[in-house]
Amino acid sequence: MRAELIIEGGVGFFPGLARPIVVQAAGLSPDESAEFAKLVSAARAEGGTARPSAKKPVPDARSYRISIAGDDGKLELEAADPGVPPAFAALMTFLKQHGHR
Amino acid sequence: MCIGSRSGRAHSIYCILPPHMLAAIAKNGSAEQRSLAIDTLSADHTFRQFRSVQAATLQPRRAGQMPAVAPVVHRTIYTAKNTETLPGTIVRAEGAKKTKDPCVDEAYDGLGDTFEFYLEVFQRNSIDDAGMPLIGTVHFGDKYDNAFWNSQQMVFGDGDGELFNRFTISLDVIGHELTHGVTEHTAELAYSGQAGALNESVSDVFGSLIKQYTLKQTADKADWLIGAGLLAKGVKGVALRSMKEPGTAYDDPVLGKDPQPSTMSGYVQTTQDNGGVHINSGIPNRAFCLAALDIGGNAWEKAGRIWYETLNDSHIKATTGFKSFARLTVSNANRLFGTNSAESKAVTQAWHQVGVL
Repeated sequence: MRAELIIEGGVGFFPGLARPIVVQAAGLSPDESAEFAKLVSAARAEGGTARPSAKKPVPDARSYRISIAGDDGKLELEAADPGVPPAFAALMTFLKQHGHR
Repeated sequence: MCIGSRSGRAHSIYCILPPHMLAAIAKNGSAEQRSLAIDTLSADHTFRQFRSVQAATLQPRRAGQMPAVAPVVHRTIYTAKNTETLPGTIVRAEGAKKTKDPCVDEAYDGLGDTFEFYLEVFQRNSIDDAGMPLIGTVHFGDKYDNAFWNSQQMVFGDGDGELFNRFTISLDVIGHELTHGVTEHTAELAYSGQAGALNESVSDVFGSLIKQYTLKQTADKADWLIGAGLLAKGVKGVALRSMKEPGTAYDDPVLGKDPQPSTMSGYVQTTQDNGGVHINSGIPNRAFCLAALDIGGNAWEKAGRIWYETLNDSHIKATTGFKSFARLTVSNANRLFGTNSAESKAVTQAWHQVGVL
């Protein structure tokens, strides 16, 4: 499984922070890999497939897109400030901790 | 909200824990604790969202929907206690004493400075010109690297301490965010492409003017930086943006290099950042700075007045681009100071220098 997090928006645009954060399950320990799968499952169950980008953008608020590719196909989740759903937020925290740009 | 949670296995202790504790457990607990906390948070989220929306709709009212009130600032600062629940818990109401929390006091003072600037310089009664109460929430999220205005209130993150400091630290950033509210109640500029870059630029212009006004700085003494002090120690940079020299605010291994162009020849066509709203804003930012420096004195008195009148001009549209906006500033300079005035010439020349006219 591979996940990619893209963060957009905020009070400024920083080219270094605009690059995607990528996590490959193959590069994780067994425990981390299990946690990764669990967090993906929770985010999927939470149903964050609504596209916040379709709404009127909130100036300087952030939007987040997580793309996941695995054996059971592809999944794309989106969220935006304020009010990022908790399972999405937990997955995002994991990706920030274990991913690389 | 715990009964009947989706998984049906939320532990009773998680039902009484506040969301910020659940979030902490979801992040730092054992695998089982994290799992239970995530389940509980998921179930609780819809309810909290409902409460948040309900609370927000009870707060400010649109211009024209409320009777005229005396122009008196009314600030309320909340803390989100490092959750993402808005508005949070009240920590300082209008007239209350300073706290020992710099985030709370900087937010309180920054909202006050912004209110005072708009009232004293432009006789504007708060964001909506109808006495809108000013609400700010500090300590939003976990090491949240941002601040924003959500049409109802200000939201400030603490920063991660590695790249960014607390987002209440820069008065011009507070002024920038509140000015998004002013734009929303006046020109209603869209938030994409050139109109979006103008929306961002207007916020930078008035954010900087609020700082200059508070510090009583003339144009030549101002730093013309947005977010000075916001970048953490060790980051190679001085601010988020430079209005005087766009593209020079930072050049850091992690953040990258400041991408702002200073003239139209460097205009960036991109789908990122809502069409480069924080990138191409460097062009109108520099135009304002050049005009203000050319006119001299206090930038809020003449250049600021021209830009404010333009923001309120009936000819401005949501989709107004750089060239139309520039022409409107010249038109307002002519109206305010005369067709052949030094002010009008300074504004015209500034737009020529950045390649817009």
